[in-house]
Amino acid sequence: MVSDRRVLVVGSGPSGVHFAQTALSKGYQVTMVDVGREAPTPVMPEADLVQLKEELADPAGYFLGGSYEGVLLPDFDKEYYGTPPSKNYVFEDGARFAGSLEGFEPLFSFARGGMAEAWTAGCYPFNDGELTDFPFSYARLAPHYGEVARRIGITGEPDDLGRFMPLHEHLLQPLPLDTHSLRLVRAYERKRAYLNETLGAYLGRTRVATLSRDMDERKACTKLGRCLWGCPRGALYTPSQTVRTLQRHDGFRYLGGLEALRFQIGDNGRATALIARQVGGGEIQTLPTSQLALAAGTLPTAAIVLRSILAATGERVRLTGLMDNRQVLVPFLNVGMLGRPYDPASYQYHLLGLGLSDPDPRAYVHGQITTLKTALLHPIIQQLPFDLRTSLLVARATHSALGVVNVNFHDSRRGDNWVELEEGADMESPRLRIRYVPAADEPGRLHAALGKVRRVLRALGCVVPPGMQHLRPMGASVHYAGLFPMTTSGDGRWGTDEHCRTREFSNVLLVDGSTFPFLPAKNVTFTLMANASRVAAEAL
Amino acid sequence: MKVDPTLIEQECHVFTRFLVRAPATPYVRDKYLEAHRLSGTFVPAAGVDSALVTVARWSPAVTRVADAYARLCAPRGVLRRKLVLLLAILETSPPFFRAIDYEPSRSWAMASLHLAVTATIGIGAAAVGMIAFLPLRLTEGVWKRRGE
Ligand SMILES: Cc1cc2nc3c(=O)[nH]c(=O)nc-3n(C[C@H](O)[C@H](O)[C@H](O)COP(=O)(O)OP(=O)(O)OC[C@H]3O[C@@H](n4cnc5c(N)ncnc54)[C@H](O)[C@@H]3O)c2cc1C
Ligand code: SF4
Repeated sequence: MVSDRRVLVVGSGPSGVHFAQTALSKGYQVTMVDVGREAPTPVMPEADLVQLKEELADPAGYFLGGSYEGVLLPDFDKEYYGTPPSKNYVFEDGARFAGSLEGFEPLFSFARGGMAEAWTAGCYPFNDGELTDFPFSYARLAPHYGEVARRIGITGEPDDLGRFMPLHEHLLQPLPLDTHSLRLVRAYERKRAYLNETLGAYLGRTRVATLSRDMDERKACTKLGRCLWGCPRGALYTPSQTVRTLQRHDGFRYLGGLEALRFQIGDNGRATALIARQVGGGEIQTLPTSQLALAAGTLPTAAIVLRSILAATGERVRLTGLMDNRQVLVPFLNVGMLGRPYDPASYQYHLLGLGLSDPDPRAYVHGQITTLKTALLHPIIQQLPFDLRTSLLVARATHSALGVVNVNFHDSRRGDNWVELEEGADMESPRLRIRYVPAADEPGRLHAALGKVRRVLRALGCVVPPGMQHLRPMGASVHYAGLFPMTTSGDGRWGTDEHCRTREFSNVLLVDGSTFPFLPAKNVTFTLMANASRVAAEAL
Repeated sequence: MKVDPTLIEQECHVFTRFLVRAPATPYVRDKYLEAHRLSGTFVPAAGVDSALVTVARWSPAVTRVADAYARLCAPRGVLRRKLVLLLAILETSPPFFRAIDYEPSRSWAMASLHLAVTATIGIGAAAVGMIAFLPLRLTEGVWKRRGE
């Protein structure tokens, strides 16, 4: 326990804001330093997607962007994220951090609210099996899962996926299912015995941080179909909403427009001050600190620590154990949906989840099923093997029948996956060198699991078009973790203790994914938030 | 980017009729032109790339054949880029987005039949495209070899 009840937090993403909220509830004074690029004001907040296209003065400008950056042209050869122009601010300026990359394509966010300003809100608690390598069990995290759920509103229900996901407190009633998802559920109910017993496959409702009822200023989802472009009702949770809540607290100070460069290290190995620069190459500021919590996201946090060590000792450290979930997209066509009308008044993201069990609970495979609703169609139409007019007609005729399973795989820490500062990188150019080599058994694991996913889809009455499965590059899932693993053993110079306190710098807490010793297949952010809250509750 | 607005507007009309069976609105035309002004990615290189765009401008039917060929043999070429750009503009603009998003409700059997007929027409267009444009491709191959 420290007696000085002040803490300086870097970053306003999911990790930073929930750390800060718990710290404030304990009576701490919290100062949050953040680059904090801000979202544009939502246009026509009450309008649904069709009204937007119908009534905006420049609809193509809104959907495709001022320089048409939202158009996916056929010669685009990088990973396509489908980020709309209204979310450009989330990833702005990230390229400055990417140095030479081998086997890894990272995204960086300097937005107020972080990367989760563009997320799809999947929130899944880890179970005891998945927490085996962590220095605590589910029971210790459970109150924080419940608390975060209370703060942000998570929908879900006890169903067949419950065998993989513990039920925590404060779950809201799920969002209503769209016709396509409902049809998949009905098919699952008919084939349950085969799917469960032969394939070890289970279907259920996703847990999503999207409101099914009003909560304070945020309104329940009314199916505007604008989720991708930014929910104007605040139904879909983003951490910038929590920043607004925190700003009403007397003990909270938000310093936006500041980029943390490094911390100063005193003689006793403690951080004495944070060195930050005003965004846009402005003034350097020195912010004295007695307790520093880095929540800048795994890679930017690593950059801050590496630069601090470099500045203090001249040492260039290589951090090993970088993890990310491999994701594979499996598109499908639900034959029974042909001829059904397309309904733009729908929630856009995944309402169903698919779990593949494994005797080793750490090897659980997690899928999120999104039935296609209001996304732009030109990226899909151009992939069909016909002229664009024919492809357009085929896509239109199958619009209500299309969907995709985003299949996620676990990852573990390995020595050959590392991060270091690029040679020549200094305070002005914080570029990271990153190397990632997939685990030797990955091809076998993917092959087996994807075969099962295709069999599940077939059993549900769906066709998987040949050749359209997409293996996303590492880095694309944006669930980065593992560079400063938390352990109880005290091993490893660059590890942290169970309270995410760095072993080298006793007053520096790392409260994002940096400290995760293992990365289950389930989307990580809910656990980032719960763990950040746990650290504030236990370590401060 | 310097572009010939008359040519681009005329091309926009033909391509819009190909994609959605209707003439382009002034809004769509302006957006299409603006995108051409902003980026050099829609300027065809010489050879087949340029010939395909020139031929595709003749009429919507020819656009279909040229595009069917381009999908198979020049999927990243300028003709495809122009058509995808226009499709993106149309799917976000009134009144065309409806023609792209919405399918009339049909019985399952009628929907399947409609799909089969549409795909057959698409395969037909591709066959015609291959026959019509293959000589162009072969000629280009010969030119390239002579140039080496
Ligand atoms: C398209 C998309 C969909 C996703 N969907 C899901 C999902 O469904 N479920 C899920 O669990 N996860 C999802 N994620 C991942 C999720 O967004 C991340 O796991 C999460 O945002 C990480 O939180 P964080 O707080 O650790 O870091 P970040 O979100 O990266 O936040 C970092 C914060 O630190 C600030 N910062 C960084 N460097 C500095 C610096 N030097 N100085 C000052 N401030 C700094 C930034 O401004 C930002 O506020 C998705 C991500 C994307 C991109
Ligand atoms: S459908 Fe999406 S955009 Fe619309 S209210 Fe619901 S969450 Fe918000």
